[in-house]
Amino acid sequence: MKVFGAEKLSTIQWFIALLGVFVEVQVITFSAPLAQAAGTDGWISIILAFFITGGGLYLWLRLALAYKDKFLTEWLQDLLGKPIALLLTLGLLLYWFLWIVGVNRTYANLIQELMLQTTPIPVLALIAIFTAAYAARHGLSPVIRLMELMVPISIVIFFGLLLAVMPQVQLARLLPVLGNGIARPLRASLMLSGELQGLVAVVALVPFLKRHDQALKTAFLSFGLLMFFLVIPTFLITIGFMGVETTVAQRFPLLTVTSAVRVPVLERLEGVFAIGWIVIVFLTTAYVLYLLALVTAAALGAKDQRHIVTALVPLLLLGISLPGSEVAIDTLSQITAAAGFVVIVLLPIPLFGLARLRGKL
Amino acid sequence: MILRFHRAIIVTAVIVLVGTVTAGCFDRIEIDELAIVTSLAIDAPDPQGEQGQKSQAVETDVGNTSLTGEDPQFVMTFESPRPDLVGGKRAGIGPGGAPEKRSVWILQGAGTSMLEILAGASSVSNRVLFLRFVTVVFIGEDMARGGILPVLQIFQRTLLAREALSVIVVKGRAEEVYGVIPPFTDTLARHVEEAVSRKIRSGAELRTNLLETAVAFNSNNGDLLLASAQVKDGGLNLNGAAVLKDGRLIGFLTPEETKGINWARGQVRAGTIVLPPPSGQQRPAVIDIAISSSKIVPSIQMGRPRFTMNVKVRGTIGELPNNDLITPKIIEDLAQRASEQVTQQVEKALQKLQTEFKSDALGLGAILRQRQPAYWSQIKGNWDEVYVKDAEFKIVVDVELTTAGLLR
Repeated sequence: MKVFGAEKLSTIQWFIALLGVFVEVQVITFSAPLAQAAGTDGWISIILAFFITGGGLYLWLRLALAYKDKFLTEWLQDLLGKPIALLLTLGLLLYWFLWIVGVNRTYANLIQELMLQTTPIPVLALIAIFTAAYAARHGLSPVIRLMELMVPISIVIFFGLLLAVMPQVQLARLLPVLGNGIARPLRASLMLSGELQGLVAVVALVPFLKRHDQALKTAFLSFGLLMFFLVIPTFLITIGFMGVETTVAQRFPLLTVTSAVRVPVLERLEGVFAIGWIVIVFLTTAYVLYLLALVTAAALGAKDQRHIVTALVPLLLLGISLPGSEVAIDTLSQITAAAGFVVIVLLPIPLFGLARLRGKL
Repeated sequence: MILRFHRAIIVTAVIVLVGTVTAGCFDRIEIDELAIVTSLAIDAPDPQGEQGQKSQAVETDVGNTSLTGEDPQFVMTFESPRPDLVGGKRAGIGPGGAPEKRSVWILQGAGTSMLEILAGASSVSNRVLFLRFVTVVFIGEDMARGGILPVLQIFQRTLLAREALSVIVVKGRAEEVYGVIPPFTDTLARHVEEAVSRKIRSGAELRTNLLETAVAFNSNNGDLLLASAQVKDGGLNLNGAAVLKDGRLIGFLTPEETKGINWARGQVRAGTIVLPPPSGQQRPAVIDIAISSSKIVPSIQMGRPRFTMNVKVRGTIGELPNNDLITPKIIEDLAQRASEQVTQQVEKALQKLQTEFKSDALGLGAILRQRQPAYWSQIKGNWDEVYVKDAEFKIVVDVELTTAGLLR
């Protein structure tokens, strides 16, 4: 298959692309379910999740690097044979489809609640999906270049806001540490591991790397920076600001925190925050849409991914519009998280074992 | 050629479709169709008033619009600036320098729910009430005695007002605040915002915003302190504190008691400590407070919780009763007397909360849960009782006087 619009990625592009895909919609919402599951010890769950999912990421990357010149669908076929590989590919496609539907539904819900109450969900989703599809149709390079430009800006905005909130944070609200033992944060870490859905998506980028020898190190640097300097601080600040009891009641906890902070020059801080977050959602959507189309095109033996992107747009819009209530969206995200745990943590173990048996590693 | 023509049509159709439906026009409301509400007051129905009649407490531009007519639960009064009169020039100047016309529009409605009142307001207003710029919510005493949960719910769940808006409990009826004409601002909301956000204050006030209120409500089982205000002699006094238990108002702290609480919370950022004149002298000594901080340390003594409050105060000598030159002994003596006075203020305020109101509004239970989890797990089921009967306080105050101004 011809990969349209893909040029080789430098190490720094790989690093930024990973950040762009790792940071996703959950950054605004994850504190609430995590606080509900782990209480004040949610930050311990994040550290545990780093090691659990880090293991999965390591295995996936080792596999992809063992077949460094082959695309994901191709090396799965080499490893598993055509029928099983096709089945697995279909499973991955369905998982990524559900993921992108969940991301964009959360995005549309937030925009609706925050700004456009009477605008229908499909119209709100259309804005992100159409723009993402435009970028994805032109291949990997525009998506990565967009990430190079926007990811640093968005991350600077995030950090700026976290710093603005800091003076009102009471870290005593995170005490006592492990007051209810380790079992609760451990269970929560398994739940959180399924939520880190960007991990496997990046594996598909491996064939496009200029320097494969730095891939593993760069991936863990990016993942570690994200977890320890963005995810953990976000949780600590949210709980330190609102406490567990108030955090669990919020749909968008980080947004609630930013809306309570007054800064002299900005009328509404949460508006600035939303700008950075919307960009991240858009980048994630563009990348995963590209990936979906590319893998589908490879599985179908299509000429390139461009027409697949176009064909996916109405399907995605339908998927985003289908959940009728918050309950349905919660069910969708639980299904996606459970599938995420299987794909990120469990699936690479037998694949890795098989590859070793076949002498590929 | 035909293919290119078809493609051009498709591209044009897509551009038109996307441009039309994604422009956010579903929610288009022009600014001149909005009545921007800057503050509002929420009261329980006046037991002495007659529903459907114009409010006696405040002169409203529109009569008391009883929207349900039967058994109203809430009375809401909205303040909305009138763009044509804001700025004062066109409002004209009346006798005594007061503006001839108020630059705000006051609308009042009653109903069984707050959303119902908002919906019904459209029947008397040609503009949509827009609540996202509300900066102050006044809650009437009767309303607060019934519980503040409905107010928190409506603002956090539905109205999308900013979490930073100030929440103030008014002694008496909240609607009365709109009888106050602010001297320097067009709206009462702006007046209150400027007053509560300025740094130089007496130390006897609280500032509570919506999110802080919700956080205190959720983590202390509804025991909390809110800012309070009172309409007095045509002005709005923003001092003292409202004490809530189980989310319901049970009383008020005086400004001095509120200062005692603020010492305990390390929240006194300005103000004075007035030391009564010693025998033989006429005038008091006054210490100008620069900053204070506090740390509350819980411990368990003989099976009882003890809270040690380490209060640190830094200030300067502002006034002295005589013209003596400052000596180290004078400074030491003043610091000692100031420490005693702060200790007394804190003790008095804590005692009132503990014995009279029986409200853990300072959040001591949460501190105990954080710092003494093993003990907390034993008593959490009857913390209310333990707090009232067994909790002890030890107040340690350290006053440091840094300068005496330009005089020696």
